[in-house]
Amino acid sequence: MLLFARSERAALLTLALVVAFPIACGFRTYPLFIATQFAVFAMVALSLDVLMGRSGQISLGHAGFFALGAYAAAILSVRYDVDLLVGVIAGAALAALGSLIVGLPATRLSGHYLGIVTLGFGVAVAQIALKWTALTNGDEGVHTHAIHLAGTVLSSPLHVYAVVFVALGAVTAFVARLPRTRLGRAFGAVRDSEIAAAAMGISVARTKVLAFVISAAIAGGAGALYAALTGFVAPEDFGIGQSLLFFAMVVVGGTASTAGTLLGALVLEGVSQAAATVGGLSLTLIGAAIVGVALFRPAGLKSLWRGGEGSR
Amino acid sequence: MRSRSRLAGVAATLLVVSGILAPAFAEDAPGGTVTGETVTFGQYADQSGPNAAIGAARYGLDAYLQAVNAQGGVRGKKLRLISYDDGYKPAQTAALVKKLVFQDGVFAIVGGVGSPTTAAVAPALNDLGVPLVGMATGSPIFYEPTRKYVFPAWPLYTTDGKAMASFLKTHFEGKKVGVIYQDDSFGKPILAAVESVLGHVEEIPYSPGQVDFSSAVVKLKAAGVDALVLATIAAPAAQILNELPKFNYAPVRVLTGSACGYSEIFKTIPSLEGAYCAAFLPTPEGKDPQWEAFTNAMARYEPGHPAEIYSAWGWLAGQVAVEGLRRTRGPITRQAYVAALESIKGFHTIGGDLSYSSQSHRGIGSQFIWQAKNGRWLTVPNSKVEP
Repeated sequence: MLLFARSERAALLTLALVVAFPIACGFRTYPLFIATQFAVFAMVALSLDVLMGRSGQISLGHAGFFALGAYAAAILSVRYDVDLLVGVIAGAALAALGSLIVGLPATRLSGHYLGIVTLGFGVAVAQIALKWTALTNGDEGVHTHAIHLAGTVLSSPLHVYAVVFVALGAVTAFVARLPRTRLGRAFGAVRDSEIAAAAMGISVARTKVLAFVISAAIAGGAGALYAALTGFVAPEDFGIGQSLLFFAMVVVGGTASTAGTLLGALVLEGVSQAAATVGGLSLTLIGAAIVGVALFRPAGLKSLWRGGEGSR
Repeated sequence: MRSRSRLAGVAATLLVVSGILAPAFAEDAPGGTVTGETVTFGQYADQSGPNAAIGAARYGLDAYLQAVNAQGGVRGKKLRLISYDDGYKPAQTAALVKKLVFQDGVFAIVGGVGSPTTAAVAPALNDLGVPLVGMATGSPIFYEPTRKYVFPAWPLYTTDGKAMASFLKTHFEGKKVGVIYQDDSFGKPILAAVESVLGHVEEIPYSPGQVDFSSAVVKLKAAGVDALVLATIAAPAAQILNELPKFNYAPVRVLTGSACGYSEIFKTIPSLEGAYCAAFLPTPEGKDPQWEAFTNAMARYEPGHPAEIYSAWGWLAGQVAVEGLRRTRGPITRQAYVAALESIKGFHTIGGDLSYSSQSHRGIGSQFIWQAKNGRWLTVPNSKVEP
C-alpha cells in the first residue's frame, strides 16, 4: 500500500466501495436510486464549494442552477429525444448562462448582499418554472423520455448509477485538483484578499464571474443527470429548501474540502431519507444534524480527520 | 501523475462498461400476489412540508384499516399501512414510492396526497402494474386518459368549479363574480369551470406560498365584485377572508373543499359566518352515519388527531381500496384487484356514490354546497351538482 499516497488510498477505497455497492445491495432498485441521488446532490455540493470554499463567495440559490440543467435536459429529451450527453452539455451551458445574471452583480457584492441576490435568483427560477407552463408544464412537471447514452438505452437503475458515479468521479477530480491550477490559485487569492489579488495582477471581477460560471455549469450538468435519474422534473423540487440543503451539505462537510463536502452530502442525504419514514420529523432531524455539527464540529466534518478546528 | 490519470481513466471505463454491459436488472415490482396473512398498502403524505395539514389523510386511512382489522380483516387477511413523509417534494415521492414498491413490497399505493407528488409517480406505477388508488387530488391529468392501474376517487376539480358557479348562478343571479385562484393545476381547472358556467369573471392569480392578499382584495372591491370565489387551499383562503373586514368589504364568499375542511376554521377565520364551501364530503357537524363511523374510529384508533375533512380523505381512500379487495375473486393478484375495482358500481362512500368501469375511472361525481351558520357548517338544501 506504500505505493500510494494517503489521498490515493482513500480514493481507491472509495472506488472499490462504489463498485461493490450494487453487488452488496443485490442490484435492488431502491438502494441504487438513493445512492445515485446522493451522487447527483454531491456534485451540486461540490459545485457550491467551488464558490464558497475555493473563491470565497456565497450562493443561497444553487437549486436554481440545478433546475436550469434539469429542465434543459428534460425538455430536450421530450421534444427532441436527445442523447444524455447532449442533455448534460445543454444543461451545463444553460446554467452557466444563467450564472452570468448572478455572477455579474457578484463582482460588486459580497457576503450577505450576495447571499440575497443568489437567494432571489433561486426563487425566481422556481417561479418561472411554475409559471411558464407552455415550456415547463407548470406544477404538473415534465416526464422525460427513455434516457439513452451513445446509442444505449439506460434501462436499469444500474446503468444510471454507473454513468452518474463516473460523472461524480470526474467532478471530484476536477474540484480536488482545482487549488493546484492557475485558476484555482487565483480563486484562493481573491477569497483571501481581493486587494492583494488585484495587486498581483489578478482580475478580481473576471475571477469571481468565472467561479460562478464553473460552479453553475457543474450544478447544471448535475441537474441534467437528476432529470435522467428521476424521469420527472417539477418546480417543487427546486425551492429554497433544496438550495439550503445544498448549502448545508457544504457547511456540514466543511468548506474547501472535497472529502468533507462529499461526506456532508452523504450525511444529509442519509438523514433526509431515514427521516422520511418518521412522519413529521424529517425537517426537524435535518435541522438537528446541522445544529449538531455547527455546535460540536464548527469547521465541519472535515475536522474529524484534519484534527481540531480544521483549516481552509 | 500520468499513472494516476491512467488509473482513474481505467476505473471510469470499467465502471461504465460494467454498467452498460450488465444485464438490465430492471426489477419487477414484488408483492404482485398476496400470499401471506397480511395485505400491505403504501402511502405518501406530507407530514413536514408546506402541506403537512392535508397530510392528515394518513390518520384517516390508518383508522379505516384498523377498523376493518378489528372486524376480522378482508378475506381473512389483516391490512397494514406503511406511510412515508415526502415533504410535498415530487422527487422525494418518487424515491419513497420506489422504497414502498421494491423494498417494502406493498400490494398497492393508497391515498397518496397531492397533485405534483402524484404526477411524479402515477405513470411509473401504471407501467409497473402497481395500483394507485384513491389519491387525494382532483387534477384532471389523472382522469384523462384512463390508466389501467390508476383509480382516482375524488370529483374532478372542474366539478368543484361547476358546483360553485352553478350555485352562484342560481342563488345570486346578477352578482358580479371574481375569482382568486392558485396559479397551478389545482386553481386553474376550477377557474376554467367557473368561466364555463358564468362566462368571463374578474380573475386574480396567486403563486403557492403567497401570504399578502391585500392588493388582490382592494382590486376586487374597486372592480365592484360582489361574489368572490376562492380557488385556493386553506392558508390563502384564511388570509384573504381575514383581509375582507379590514377593507369593509363583504361580498358573497365561496371556498373549495380543500380550504374549508380543517377543524379549527371557525377560530382561524372569525368572520366566516355566512360563507359557502363546495364539498363532496358530509359536514363535520352533520348526522351522516358514515361520518359518525369515521368520527368514532378516529377517536378510537387515532386519538389526538381530529376527525376533519383532511383525515376523511384518507378514510375515503381506505374505503375504496378495501372494497376492491372484498370484490377480488380467487388469488389476490394485482390484475384481479384492478378487475375488482372496475366492477365497483354505486358504492356508498363517505364522499358519495362511487363507480368505476374498464373505460372510466372517474370515481365520485357529485358535489354540494355547505354554508357557515352559527359557528358550524350546514349543507345547503338542493345544492347537489352532478358533473
